[in-house]
Amino acid sequence: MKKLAIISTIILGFAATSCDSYLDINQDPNSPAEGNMTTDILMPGAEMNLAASYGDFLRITGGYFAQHYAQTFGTSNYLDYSQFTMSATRSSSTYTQLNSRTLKNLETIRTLAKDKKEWGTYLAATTLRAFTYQVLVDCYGELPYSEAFTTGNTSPKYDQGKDIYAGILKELDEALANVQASDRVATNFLLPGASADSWIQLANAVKLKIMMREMDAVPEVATTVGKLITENNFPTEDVAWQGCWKNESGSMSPFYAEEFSTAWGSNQINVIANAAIINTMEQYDGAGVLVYSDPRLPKFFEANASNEYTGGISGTNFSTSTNYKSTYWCRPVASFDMPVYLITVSEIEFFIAEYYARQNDATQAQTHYDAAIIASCNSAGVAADAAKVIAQFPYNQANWKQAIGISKWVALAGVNNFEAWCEVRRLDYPAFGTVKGSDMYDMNNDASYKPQLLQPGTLYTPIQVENKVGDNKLIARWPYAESSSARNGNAPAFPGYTSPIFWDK
Amino acid sequence: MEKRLKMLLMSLFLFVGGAFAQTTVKGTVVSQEDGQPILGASIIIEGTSQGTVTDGEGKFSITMPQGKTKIRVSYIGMETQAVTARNGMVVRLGLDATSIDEIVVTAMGMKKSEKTIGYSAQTLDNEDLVSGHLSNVTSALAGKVAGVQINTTSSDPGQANSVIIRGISSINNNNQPLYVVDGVPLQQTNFSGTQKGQDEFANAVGGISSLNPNDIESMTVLKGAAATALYGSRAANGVIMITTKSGKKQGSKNFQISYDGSVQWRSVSTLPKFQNRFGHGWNGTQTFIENGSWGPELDGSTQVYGPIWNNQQLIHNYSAAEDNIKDFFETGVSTSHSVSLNGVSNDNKTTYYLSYSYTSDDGIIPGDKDNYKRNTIAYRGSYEATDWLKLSSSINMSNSKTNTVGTYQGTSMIDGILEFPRDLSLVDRKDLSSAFNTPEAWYTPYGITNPYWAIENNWNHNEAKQVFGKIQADINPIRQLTLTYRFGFDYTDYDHKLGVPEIALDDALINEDYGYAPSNMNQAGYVSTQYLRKYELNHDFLANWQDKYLDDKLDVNVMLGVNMSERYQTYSRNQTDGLTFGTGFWDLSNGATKTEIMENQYKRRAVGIFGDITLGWDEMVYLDLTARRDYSSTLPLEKNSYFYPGATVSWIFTKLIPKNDILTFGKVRMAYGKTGNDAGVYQVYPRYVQAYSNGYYANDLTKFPFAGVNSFQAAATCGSTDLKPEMTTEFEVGLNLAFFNNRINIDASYYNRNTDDQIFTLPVDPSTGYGFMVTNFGKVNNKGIELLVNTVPVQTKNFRWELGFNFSKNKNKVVSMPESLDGGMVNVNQFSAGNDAIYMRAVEGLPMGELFTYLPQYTADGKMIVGADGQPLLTDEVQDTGKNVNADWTGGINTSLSAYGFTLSASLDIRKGGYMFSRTRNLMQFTGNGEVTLYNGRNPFIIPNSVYADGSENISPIYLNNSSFQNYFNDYGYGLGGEAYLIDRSFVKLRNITLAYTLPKSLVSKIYLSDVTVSVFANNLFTWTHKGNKYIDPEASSFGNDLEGMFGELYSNPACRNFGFNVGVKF
Repeated sequence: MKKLAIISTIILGFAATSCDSYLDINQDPNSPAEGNMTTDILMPGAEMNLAASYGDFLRITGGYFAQHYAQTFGTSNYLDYSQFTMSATRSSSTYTQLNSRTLKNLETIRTLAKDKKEWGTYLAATTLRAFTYQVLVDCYGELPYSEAFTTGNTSPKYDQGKDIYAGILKELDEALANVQASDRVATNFLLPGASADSWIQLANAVKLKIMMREMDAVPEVATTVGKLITENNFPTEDVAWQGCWKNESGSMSPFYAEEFSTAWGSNQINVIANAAIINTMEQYDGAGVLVYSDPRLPKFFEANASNEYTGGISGTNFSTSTNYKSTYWCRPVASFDMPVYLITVSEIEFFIAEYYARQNDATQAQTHYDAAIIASCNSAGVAADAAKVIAQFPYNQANWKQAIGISKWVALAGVNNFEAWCEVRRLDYPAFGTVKGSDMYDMNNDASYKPQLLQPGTLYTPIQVENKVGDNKLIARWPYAESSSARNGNAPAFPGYTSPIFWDK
Repeated sequence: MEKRLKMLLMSLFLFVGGAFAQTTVKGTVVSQEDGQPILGASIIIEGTSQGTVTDGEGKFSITMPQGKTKIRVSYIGMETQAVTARNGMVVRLGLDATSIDEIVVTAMGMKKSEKTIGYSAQTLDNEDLVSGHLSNVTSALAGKVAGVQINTTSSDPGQANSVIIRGISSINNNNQPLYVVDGVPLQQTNFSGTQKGQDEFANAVGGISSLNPNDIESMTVLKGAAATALYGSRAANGVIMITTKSGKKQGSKNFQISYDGSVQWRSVSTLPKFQNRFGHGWNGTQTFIENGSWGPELDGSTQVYGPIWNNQQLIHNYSAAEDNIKDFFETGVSTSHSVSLNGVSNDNKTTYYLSYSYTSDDGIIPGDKDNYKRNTIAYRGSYEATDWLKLSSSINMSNSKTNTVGTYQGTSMIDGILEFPRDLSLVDRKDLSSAFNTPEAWYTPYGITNPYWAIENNWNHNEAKQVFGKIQADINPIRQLTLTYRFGFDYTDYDHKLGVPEIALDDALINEDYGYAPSNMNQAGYVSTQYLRKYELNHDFLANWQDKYLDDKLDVNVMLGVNMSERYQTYSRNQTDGLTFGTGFWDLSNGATKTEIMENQYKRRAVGIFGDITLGWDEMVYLDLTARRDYSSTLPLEKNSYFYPGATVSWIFTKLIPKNDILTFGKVRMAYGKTGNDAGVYQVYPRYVQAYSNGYYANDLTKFPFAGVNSFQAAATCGSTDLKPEMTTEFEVGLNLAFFNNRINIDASYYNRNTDDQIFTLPVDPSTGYGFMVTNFGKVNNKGIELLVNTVPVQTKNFRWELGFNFSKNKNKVVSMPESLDGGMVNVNQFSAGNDAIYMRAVEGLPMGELFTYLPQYTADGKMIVGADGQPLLTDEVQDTGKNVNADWTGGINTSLSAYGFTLSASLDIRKGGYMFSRTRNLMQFTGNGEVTLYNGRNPFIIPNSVYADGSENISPIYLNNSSFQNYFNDYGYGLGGEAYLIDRSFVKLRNITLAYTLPKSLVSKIYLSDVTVSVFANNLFTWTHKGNKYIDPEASSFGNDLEGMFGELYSNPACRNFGFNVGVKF
């Protein structure tokens, strides 16, 4: 019995005294320590998550919803987008990516940068954060902002889009107030090697984009926009992730990687040009003679097997057609190293033109409108032919919304399709014409394919349009992402596909 | 107990040795049933405390004091006899009909008489386990143990089983029981693979799957928390205790050699119900290249199909190839052999057991493509060095190789089969030298391919090795005290390789592709490897005090112990793309780019201090108290310990009533117990991972290192420094009754279990910064009843009929959820494709695993609301279907008839209720291959009893030729919305039927054998499913083997039935 007592005492004593060090092994050896994190380590990952969403999912959905894109023969991966449908689950992983990977890590970068007074990096992170929040508002209308990224709060409240816009503008101003043009910016691929001066220009462009988009809803921003334009410190080149892509999986430009490469197993063709954009970029007269061919068209879309530009019809995949097979259609021009544009000079110029148009300054408006088209042609590598485009789509102060709306929609068709969906919702141009998708194609009858019925510069109701969108309307917003709505008790009820975002007056 | 009793009696014998020597009586004790000698029977001289035990030949020798003539002969499980001592006597002990006195091995390897325990423990012996000759022994539990639900993940060889005891209580932790072999806990590794969405499977690696079923002596299922408190955290879901065979004296021989061999065949048992009226095409039109049967009505004409390749095109008869799919599969063959040698030394001090087994299992997929091969070798021995020291050890090694045919969307075999048009012939597409039978000119370019090509060119190979065992020392310094030290170890590793071939077509020989070129299904191909090593080490220090006091009426058993355990794992995953050799060379050197080089390690430790006191009074009332404190490395350091007690009482009330012919035995029992549970590793502190981003379909769309730069990002899951241990509290009452001398045995239990503060990885709104947050989560309640009835309706000298029933009903409820959740629901698993979504959720107030989906909407008077196009208008948000994954009840019937050496036995397994997700069902609708798509003869129709949203009558017809008929099936679940993905899980399965014949002893002894048994058997011979399930075996699962796995199946391979025969020979 004594022996037992001694043994037990030894065992228990050993267990009790050395327990703490014996058990202190719960730090993940596969994770770097939190204390070793720097802005340089975090920034490239955060920005690439934005590039991956903006350059791929948002490009695809924007393209379908702006009727740049239609669905090719036979496959049906995005047929629902072409019918103006978006489900809570379809957008969920993008919502998750932009929040938990882009914004979360940008938030950590901002905290680190603030602590260490890295104001260049602070501005860069704030600019990307503002850009990301704007994109999310433009998709969903409302989302958590003021209570987001707060430890312990698993149900952050949803903020109104208008308040988020105001919040990110304030953040940009704060970041701009602290920065010096020569400040260093953490490692990144968007403006590699650049000091804060380039980021100040980008921040100004993002501010312009935010305020112009809310111009109808918050007209008082006009004064600030005026000052910003007078300052005229915007990027002079397109801001894009480019030159960093490689032709191997994990390093390709995102849209190409997912829709064109074979890196993720069997890959199907989905995205083709839509009749709406083709009819606008390639126009025929009543006799069927080609009267206008946009120089950017071959840069945006590949000609089909017969070297023609053809446009698919929203809402169908021609599945039983005998004439309109996949080789009949035109796919977007894509390559492993295609840039992912964050904001282009053309977009900036269109916004400036719009500002002057609203001020009734037709001269300045026209100057910047033309500059926008020139910049667009320049991005496409066809700068020499810009005059031809301007002649076809001349500025018109009397109906500036139509002029800017259509030209911008065309300019974005090969660049930033997501922005096109936003701007069509806001400017209401291109408008819906009198022709419907079902007038242009009946899947029982190949002879019924008549895209020429569609007026250039107009949109149309897709075949089998989503019941909840209906005729002559765009999908105005997305259902709140499932990763939020199913997990957050504060998520509001979905106001419906046709309920406009706050800026969509 | 047996051993202790022996020790006790031996010591008694020692101190009376030679004292009052008068007469020496020698005798033999044998079993009445078979005349075999009984080793270790106790002989006590009536009126004294003197006695002895029998040796290996059943012989004893005892010296009778003067005036004493009677001895009492007893042996556990046999009726005690008081007889007059005579020299040369033979005592025949009969089976004890007056008590249920099976020996149950309980926690920490303690042997207890079943009658004394106060909780539910059900034991299956070797015969129950091996009669079906299943390579995975847990399959044998199906339908035999009340309250245990076994799900096979698939019929593919070498696949894992899910074992869930008394319902799901943990939402995202493990719900699988702890397996303990001879006192050593095993790690159960269920290896499931999902890489790039290319592969879904669950191989069982290590753990119990590598045990040779013939090595198992018995398996005890400990169900309640009271039973499991001594195993600590990992026993919260119950314990399956396995006792393996050890060396024994066999009659007059001190060794035995046994051989057991079986051969079995398997064939497809369940396929979806296909339609045979419409053929290849889309929207009612022949398309030549579509993957489905939405074409025109079959008319027997001769038609071309598929692309024109090298100026050739295939023709076929446009009529149904009815048995097309069935004929694709072949008969699988499996064999197993097991040899063992066991025995004891001549001085009875050394025992040994050595076994070797080989199992080879080739499934139903053509060729040797789905197979499982396992070799096991086991050695166990014990040595009594002195009368106070016994050493024992065991070592088990296994090596298994599994080739799996992956199930996934795309170029898998099963997708190629399920989407195959009804009028084409599959079985003559084997010749892969023909371009028409490869992706180059396959009949469809839409992402699926020839199943024969798929099985030939995809590679999924796993090799696993496991070594486990123990070294144990038992010391008896004094009679009442046993000190035990046990070192248990379990080492497992696996090497898994996945090869996906390159498809690089240039369409050079394609003359006409009918609109979509085969090259569109080009894929890069890759080689991916996963290597894992893991070990578990356990040190147990136990002290056990056992004695009787107060005139032997008070039985006292006290145990104290300490357990220290460590689990470690290291894992590496590597991938290479851009294959140099497009197929067949599955090595990491075969790629131009390395896209993944990943490593992962974890280590966790725990220390547990525990105690157990059992008090028995007059073999009538037993009280058992347990307590344990655990210290775990996975909890926040300053709050890393937790305490949990348990108590059970049992009362054999029949001791108080006079012996009668009706009620033979009766016991009531009551148990209360708690089991604490710690967290997973690294769920406390913040973590970062190498940065990556995803696309819509593609994972790792961009991946660091990227363009020469590395980056990290916050991990998707947020840890918590406030984690508390989770606590399971269970209350149980039970009743055991035996009537008519054990002709009827009843075991009934009621239990009520609450699991509080579950450590849960809660999916959270990503705007919190994380996709998931580790938190203590709410409360889940399981309560239910279990009933076990075993009867012997007929027993005569040569004929015995046994009939047993078991029934269990478990009610599961999510009682509360974290307040922060507000909405009060969590997705446990889900499927979403396009705009369809099925969620399996935990919702406050509902059973775990409630299924949600988009549903049609109805007017107040029950009319379906449709949109302008006449299609059902589904809800904007997913709705509660009122259906969930839990069964209403489960049960089983087992019977056996024995006569003249023949035994015919059968077991039936029943599950009633519960729903599951089935992608196969959905595919039958999508492809038009399913019977259900014959609705209205595919003629135009208006949805009956439907109105537009404004209440006016629906006048929009649905046509086949404008795709709305297909949309009605594919997008609107033919009026059921997402419910068209669900199927009723009910089934009745004839699990096993066996006819065995044991050759007469007189015959076998002539050829120097002691026992020869031959049997024929069939497993899963018949399965009756719910009438709404025309698709799959309802046990199929594609999501692993836990709660998530209960969600359902995604492209699962078909289920099988097996037939076989077996020979068992003992020398």
